[in-house]
Parts: sequence; structure tokens; C-alpha cells
Amino acid sequence: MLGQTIVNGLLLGGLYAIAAVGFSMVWGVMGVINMAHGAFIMVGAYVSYFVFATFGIDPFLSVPLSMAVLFVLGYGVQRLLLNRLMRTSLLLSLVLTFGLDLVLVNIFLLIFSADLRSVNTFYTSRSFALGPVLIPYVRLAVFVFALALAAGFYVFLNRTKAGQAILATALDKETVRLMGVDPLKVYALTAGVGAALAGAAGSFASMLFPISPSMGITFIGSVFVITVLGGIGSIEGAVLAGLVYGLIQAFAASLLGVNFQEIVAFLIFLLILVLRPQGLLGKRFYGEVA
Amino acid sequence: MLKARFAPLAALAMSVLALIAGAPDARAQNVLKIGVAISQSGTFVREGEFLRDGYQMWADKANAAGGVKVGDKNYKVELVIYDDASQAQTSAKLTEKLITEDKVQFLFGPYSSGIANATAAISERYKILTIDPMATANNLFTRGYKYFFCPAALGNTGLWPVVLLLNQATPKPATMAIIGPDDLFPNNNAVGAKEKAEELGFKVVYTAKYPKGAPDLSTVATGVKSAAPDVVLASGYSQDSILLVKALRELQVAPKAIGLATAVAVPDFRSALGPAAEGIMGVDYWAPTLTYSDRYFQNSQQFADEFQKRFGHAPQYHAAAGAASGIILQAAIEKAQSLDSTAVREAMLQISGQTFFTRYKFMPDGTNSLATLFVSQIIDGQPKSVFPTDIAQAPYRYPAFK
Repeated sequence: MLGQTIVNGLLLGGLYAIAAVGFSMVWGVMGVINMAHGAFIMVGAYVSYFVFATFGIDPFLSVPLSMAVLFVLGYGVQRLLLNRLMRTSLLLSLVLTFGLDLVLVNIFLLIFSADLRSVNTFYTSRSFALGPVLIPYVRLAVFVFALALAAGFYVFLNRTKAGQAILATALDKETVRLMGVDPLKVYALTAGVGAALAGAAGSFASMLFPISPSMGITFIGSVFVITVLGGIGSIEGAVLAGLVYGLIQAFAASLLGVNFQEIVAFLIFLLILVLRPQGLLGKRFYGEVA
Repeated sequence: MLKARFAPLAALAMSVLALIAGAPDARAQNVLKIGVAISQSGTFVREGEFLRDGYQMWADKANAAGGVKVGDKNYKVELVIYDDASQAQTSAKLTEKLITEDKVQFLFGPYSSGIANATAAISERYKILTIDPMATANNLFTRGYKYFFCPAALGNTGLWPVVLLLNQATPKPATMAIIGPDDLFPNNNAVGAKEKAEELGFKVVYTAKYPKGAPDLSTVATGVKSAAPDVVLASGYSQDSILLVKALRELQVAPKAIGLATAVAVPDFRSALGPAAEGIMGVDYWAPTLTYSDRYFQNSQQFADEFQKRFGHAPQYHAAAGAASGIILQAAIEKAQSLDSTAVREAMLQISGQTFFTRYKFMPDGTNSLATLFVSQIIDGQPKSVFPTDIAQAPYRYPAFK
């Protein structure tokens, strides 16, 4: 039972991790708390569902498509709407993204209705045994792909020019202009990439959870906690925190009862804020540049 | 320049005045306003929309037949509908708004006992008659409310038909697990099921409650696996039941039967689970094969056909219950020959009869003494009623899974 709990927690943690990386990045680089992140995940799930239902293409294969769709959405929102707010109060971005969330959810309610949908492949709900522990195929695949995507994003940030521009803008957006980088373009790129990662998370989620326009709600709370837990703006932090969060929830549910999983997770979150407010791997100055 | 600045404002003012002047005088037509604060978003959006469409179906049928007749006046039914976002507090506020601002004469209740818990207190305070077929928690009817009625079977009986079926199965299962979300209606179901099960000699070896919107139930499935019960009963709603069945399959938990308190006849439940839905039992309030009839519908199939035509998809039991509520309300209003809630409430206790959904005879506590439930099982991809045997379309399969 202990082994199964660890496996359950870790595998789910992988999904939470990739769901949080984009959110954490956007917050760290631009100070924008994207309340529509859950809705982005939902859109990604629907893209994969739609492709699966119409063409029979496996969601893992449609991840690039949902990432592309969400990139356009995230980039567009930042470029056309949020960039105008960057010069004013950043709290306005909370309000705007909250409104965006409402709009997206309701548009999807109109188009798709509230009917629950699900992706059923030939390997859904099948699992294999590794000693005393059962590992579901879908969860393992999601875990692997999610971590691979996070690693790829890390490489993108640290080894490509665009990625370096994003990191530089996060550190000091005034100086970066002197390097020939336009912060507003970088913000749009970051938002696009952050949304694309949410889209990927949505594609993965489509295989695990029933799909409905309000499915984003279950994510936004966890994503928030994981971001702060790992350190705002830190990808390694988000991944680590995602796994830790998954494990905490699994153990809390197993030892105390499923009712306690949220309570315990948030208690740990509060503890971290009190004892180590920059999160597990966050740096004190990162993401705090005004 | 000045003119140009004020032109749009002037245009706006003119349009508003024109709208007010041109608005039809509502007093000229007799209108029966019925308030509906219901889930059109949030966790219960599906069920809320089904229920709302049911209420609307009755309203349309009544209006097509000339309206509700009181004395020599014909009243056009008008539903005033607000979205409570599946939140009890919001629904309570909207109920108060419907009563005090929109001045509705009656109320059709929200989806789920948890939300009705909040709204019933409001309608009781203002003494406005509420009919809510989807608020079936027993404790709603032990408070002495006089203005709250439910035509459907109560919550604690939700899993009884499955327990009774399993009691007759051979070989009779010895152990049982009962799981569900921590919410009013599921808790009712779970407690009622446990009592009935123990009364009939089953041993309940595992129970668990999980948060209503929990995204992951692998821990619960792990717990069920260690307890290894013969059968599993789940008291939750569609969304978490789908998650639960998937989690059980992932962890290769193989009970001899899985019984849900929610309807397995709902198509998206079956398509969401695919082949994993085969053999699962659920409890139904209603199916198009029932043969009760009333003034608008000869039988349930006619209701199903007309609903399909009007709304573009087949009705679920929530819609049937909603429409039946309207038919019952109309019967009570016509008996009382009044639109006063107190008079109509008295009439509710005097009427008895049939709707295509159920027979009815109400008790002073607001419950329907003639309400019933039945078990459906998914056999070869289709839901078939299997218990009680007198309305069964097919024999039940036990063990349910190969």
C-alpha cells in the first residue's frame, strides 16, 4: 500500500508539475498571475479530445497541436490585452485574466455544452505490475512526457537566445532594452510559451480526467500552491514542488482520509510561506523586480 | 464640436426612452411567474441544465394549451431563470431576489440537496411554495418546512434498489464497500445504503468520503483494493463516478458488481467510460419505458420524443422530474383555484394522481409517499432496467463483469 501510494502521488505530481511550470514562468517573468491558466488547460484538453474524437489521433500525438493553439491564444492575449496593463498596476492583470477565464469557460460551455467527455484509448485504465505495485500505462506515459517537456523548456530557457532574452527581461527589464531586446515582445513570447505548456498539460489531463468546461477549476488552486511552493519563476522548483505536492496529497489521503488531502497540502504551503517564503528553489530576487 | 461630443449620449438616451415607452405593459396579460435559481455553470451545470429544460418543457406545454386556468383567467407561465453557479450562497441570494424583486409567485428548486438546503430556508421564510424534485436529502424534510415539496424518492433510499438486488443475487456477496463524495445527497445515500445493507446481512468492510471536486481518486481505489470487498457501491455524481470507475480499473480492483447512486443511463457517462461501463449498475428515477400518464403525456416515451424535438437531445431523469413538477404544481393551483402559496400548499396535500414520471400523493412534510426507484445495468452497451423484476427489461448480470 505504501508503494502504491508513492507511485500514485509521483505520477499525478508529474501532471501537476507541467501544469504549474507555465504559470510559474509567467508570474516570475512578468509578475502576471494568470487566473485563466486553468481555462488554458481546459482548452488544451478540448483540442486533444476533438482531434481524438474526429480523427482518432492519440492525445500524446496531438500535444504539439494543442501547444500551438494555446501559444497563439496566450501570445495574442498578452500582446493585445495584457501588454497595455504592464505599465499600470499589475493587480489589473489579475482582474483581466479572471475575466478572461470566465469568458473562455462560458464560450466552451456554449459550444460544447456541459456534457462530460473522455478520451478512451486502447491502453486507458490498463496497468502493469511492478512488484507489489500497479502502474497505470496512461499515468506513467503522462509522467514521462510531462517531465521531458519541462526539461525541454529548461533547455530552451537556458540555451537559446529567445530563452536567454526571457530570463534577462525577468532580471532587469530596463537594462535589457540596452541589449536590443523589447520587453513587450518578450512578455508576449513568455505568455505564449506559458500558455503552450498549459495546453500540453491539458492534453495530458484529457486522458486522466473527465473533460468539461469547468475542469480548469481543479487545477488553478493546485497550480498556485505549487508555484509558490517551488519558487516563483523557477522551473526546477515547479517540477520539484509538483512532485512533492502529489506525494503530500497521496500520503495525506492514504493516512488521514481523502478529505484531508487538500487541508494537508495547504498547511504545508502555509508552513513554507512562513519558514521559507521564496519557496523550495526560488531565489530571493528573482521575479521580484518591479 | 459640442454637438458631436453629445450626439452618442443623446442617441443612447433616446433609445432608452424608446425602449421604456415601447415596452409592453405586463399588467395587460395575466402572467404566472415562477422563479428558478439553478446551476447553469459550475460543478452541477449538466444536471442543472437538464432540470431547467424539464421545467421549461412543462411551461411550454402549459402555455400551448392556453396557460394555467384560475377562475376565468388564463395565466401564461413565465419562468424567471438565474444561474446560481452551483453555489448554495448564490442560490439563496438569487431566491431572495426572485421573491422580493421579481415577485415570483412560486419557485422551482435548484439542483442538489446541498443548494436546496440554503434556498428552502428562504422560500419558507417568505412562505413561497417550492417544488424541487432534485433535492432529496432526508433532513430537508425533517425541519417542519411547510412550503417545500419533492415529488421524487428521497436520498437515503438512493442505493436501496441495488442493495435489494444484491440481496437476491446468487451467490450472495458477503462484503461491501461504500464510497462517495462528502456532500449532502451522497452522504444520505451512503448512510441509507449502509443501514439497509447491514440490515440484510452484508458486511461493510470499507467506507470512504472524498472532497466533491477531487480530481484524483487513486487513493480511494487503493483503499478499496486493500479491503477487497465483493461489491462496491458509490454514492456520488456522474463526474466523480467516472473518475472512480477509471481509478478502480487502473488499479485492477475487480469487485463482482459496482452499483452507482447516479444514473448509468446518461449517454455521456457511458461514452466517457467506453467499454469500462459494461456491467455497471445504477439507480434510475425514470426511463422512457415507464407507462404512467397525465394530461400532457400519454406515457414517458411521448415525453422523451417531444423533449428530443424541442431541445435536440434525449431527456434524462432530471428533465422528466422537472416537467412532472410543473404538472403537479399546475394540478395544485387548479385545485386551489388561487395563486396564493398558502392555498396552493393546502391543495398539494389534497391532490393525488399520476404524472408520466411518477404517481404522487404528498405528505404534510412535503414528501411523496408514492415515489419509486429502479436499477439499470449496462448490458451490451445499453442501459436496461433490471430490478425490480416487474418492470425489468432484461435479467440482471451477476457477477457483473467477465
